[in-house]
Amino acid sequence: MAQDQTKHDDYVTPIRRLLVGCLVVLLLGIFLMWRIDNPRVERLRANVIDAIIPRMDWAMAPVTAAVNLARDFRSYKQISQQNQELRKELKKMKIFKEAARQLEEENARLLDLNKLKLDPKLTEVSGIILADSGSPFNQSVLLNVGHRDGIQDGWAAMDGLGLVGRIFGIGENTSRVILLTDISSRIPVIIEPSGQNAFVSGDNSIAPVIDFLEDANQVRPGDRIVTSGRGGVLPPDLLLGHLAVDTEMRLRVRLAADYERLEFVRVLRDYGREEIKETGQLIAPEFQSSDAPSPNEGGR
Amino acid sequence: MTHPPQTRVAGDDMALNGLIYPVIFIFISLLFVFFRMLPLDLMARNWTTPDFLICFMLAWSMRKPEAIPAILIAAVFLLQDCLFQRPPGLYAALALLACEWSKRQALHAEEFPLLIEWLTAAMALVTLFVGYRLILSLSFSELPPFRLSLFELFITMVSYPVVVGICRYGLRLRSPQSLPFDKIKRGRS
Repeated sequence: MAQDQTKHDDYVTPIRRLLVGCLVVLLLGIFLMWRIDNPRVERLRANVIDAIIPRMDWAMAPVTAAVNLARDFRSYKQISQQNQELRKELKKMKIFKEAARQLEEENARLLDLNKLKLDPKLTEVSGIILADSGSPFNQSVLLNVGHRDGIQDGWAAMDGLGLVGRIFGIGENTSRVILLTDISSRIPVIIEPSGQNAFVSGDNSIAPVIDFLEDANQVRPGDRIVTSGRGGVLPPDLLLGHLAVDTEMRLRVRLAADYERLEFVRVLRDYGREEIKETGQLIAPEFQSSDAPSPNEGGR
Repeated sequence: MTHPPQTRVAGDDMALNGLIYPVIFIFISLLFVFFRMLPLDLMARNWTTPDFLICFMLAWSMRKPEAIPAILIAAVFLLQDCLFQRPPGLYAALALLACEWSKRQALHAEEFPLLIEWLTAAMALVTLFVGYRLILSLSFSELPPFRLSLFELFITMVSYPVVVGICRYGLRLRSPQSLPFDKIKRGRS
């Protein structure tokens, strides 16, 4: 039997090596493909995820719910303390609410005065979070809305308050949102009272960093940070959060979206804004433009 | 159920193992992926749970090499790459090489106590870590955060004996020396 075993062993090993070698080459080939033709492989990946994750949802949803329930239960222990704090906060909020109502009225009056309209194209699709990225190296989540619901790459995902991330990768029934905290996330923003442009880039921490700020002296902690809409990447004026300074004196964003309890996100439909490319023919009627000088040239 | 004679148990066992262990193996890997994908913790954090899957793969490679064929390892890791948003294929290729290497280490060793097994696994993990980062940086891809990766490597190495314990007492995987396959080898040499 020993003889038999050794024969078997000798016979198997070279073939095994060949098989392993082939597999390694194949896998490295996939990696190389990904490196060269990224969008196609990413689309393939989105399709794979699309085929798997919605089928696992029946199992994932109850487990997630159970764990969250257990966590809630643990937090009930400190309920009286929380209650006190919430009451205090509520008092403060009432004051803010009053102020907000007044401001809202004023704002409405001013908008009316200007005959302004908010962008009617900004409608939204709500999606439930199916799964996260599976490792702390990537900060992204999978939604249960996809190509079927008309989702497109690059659209903004918000929770009730602030921006959560951008759509990146769409399957038929699922889509992936890269969160603001991911290391590959870069969002052009405006820091509000001073109106300075900057970038918010994720670094795998809770509070993303502010880069490429024009003048750091003009901003203060607590300033509002909103998207600038530059490059047509995201719609303008979506709230990201507030400015904060960390212990190393770096400027960071305290995000408005509640990442700890993210269950739904709203994806904003955004079909791009009209671009004005040419200058001269905008105001002047066409029959005038050939001979007479246009009226606004004379005005200058 | 009647007990078959002692001599036939081993043969039945082998035949059964041939089918059952890959199934258990696939089941455990899917379970691992499943728990990692649960949307429980969306906050960015500077710690991570150990990568039990690679531990488990290495432990099985050394303790039951015939139960996990290379193609299964490749498939599981490729799926993991896809789902976890890693560059597809690279980690799978390296993990496959690491598993095959540790299979050979276990098969050719005269004696294989737990400490040596652990060291072999640790070496495989470190090589995997270095190779992964090296190839990523050589191909100008985006590298995962260094400190987090290092933390994961460390905690994965530390948790290897735990995985071995689960394999030993939960799944009754014997230590490598007690494989009949190996005994024959040792008798021959």
